[in-house]
Amino acid sequence: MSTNVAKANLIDAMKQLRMRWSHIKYTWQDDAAAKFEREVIDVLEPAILQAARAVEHASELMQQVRRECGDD
Amino acid sequence: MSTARIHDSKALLDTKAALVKFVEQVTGALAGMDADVGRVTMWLHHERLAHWKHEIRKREDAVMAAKTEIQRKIIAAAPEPVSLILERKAVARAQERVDEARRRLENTKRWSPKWEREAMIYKGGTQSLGEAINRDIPLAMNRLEKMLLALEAYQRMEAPSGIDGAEPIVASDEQAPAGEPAAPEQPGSQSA
Repeated sequence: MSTNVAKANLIDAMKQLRMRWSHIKYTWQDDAAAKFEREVIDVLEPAILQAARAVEHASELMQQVRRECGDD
Repeated sequence: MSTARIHDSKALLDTKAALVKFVEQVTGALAGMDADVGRVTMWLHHERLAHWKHEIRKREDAVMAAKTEIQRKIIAAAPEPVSLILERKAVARAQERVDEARRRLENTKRWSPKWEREAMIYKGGTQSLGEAINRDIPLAMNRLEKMLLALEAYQRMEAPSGIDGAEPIVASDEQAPAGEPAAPEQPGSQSA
């Protein structure tokens, strides 16, 4: 898998979850929904962003390694 | 305890489906990237080291062959002088290829421990997402499952006479007894 694809897939997974959740909230609007959003959905976003940054950084280094250690 | 006023289970099932899809996408992305990181580690530690050592030997042989060709040409032409411009260029090119292989072997040796550290940093960067996927989301799914069971249990109960249209109130905390609807809230009350 291309590392760029991996990063894009992570970001896309979060976007899709947010989109689906926004639809669900039309029919589930109460304290429990707010609590679920706060405790489950919202906490995923920083984890996704951190992972995407890690993927991007590792991806850049991978290219450098391949350039410097690959065939000439 | 917070409570959920849910009239049907669709919202809970949709939430579960959304989380399942999220887990699938994230797991796929991380598995692909983890595999790439692992492949680079193996490539550097094993394949590249052996490759460049072998290339250096092979290219040194090519330098020797190019130098031998100069000697052969000198001997063949003796006692006449002979032009060796092309042969000397060939030796220089072969020597450059040896130097390049040596540089790349040094790069490989330099990158091996550095990449190992970077692979650890990458692992650290994806750790919290991994924990969310492997621990937090399964707990959330369990929470939704308990809410679904409580809702289904409520729906199986006949509504007491005289309170038609009462809303099902489902305990949403993990500690709530599964399969049992929570005690109804007082009208207007707001639970934490």
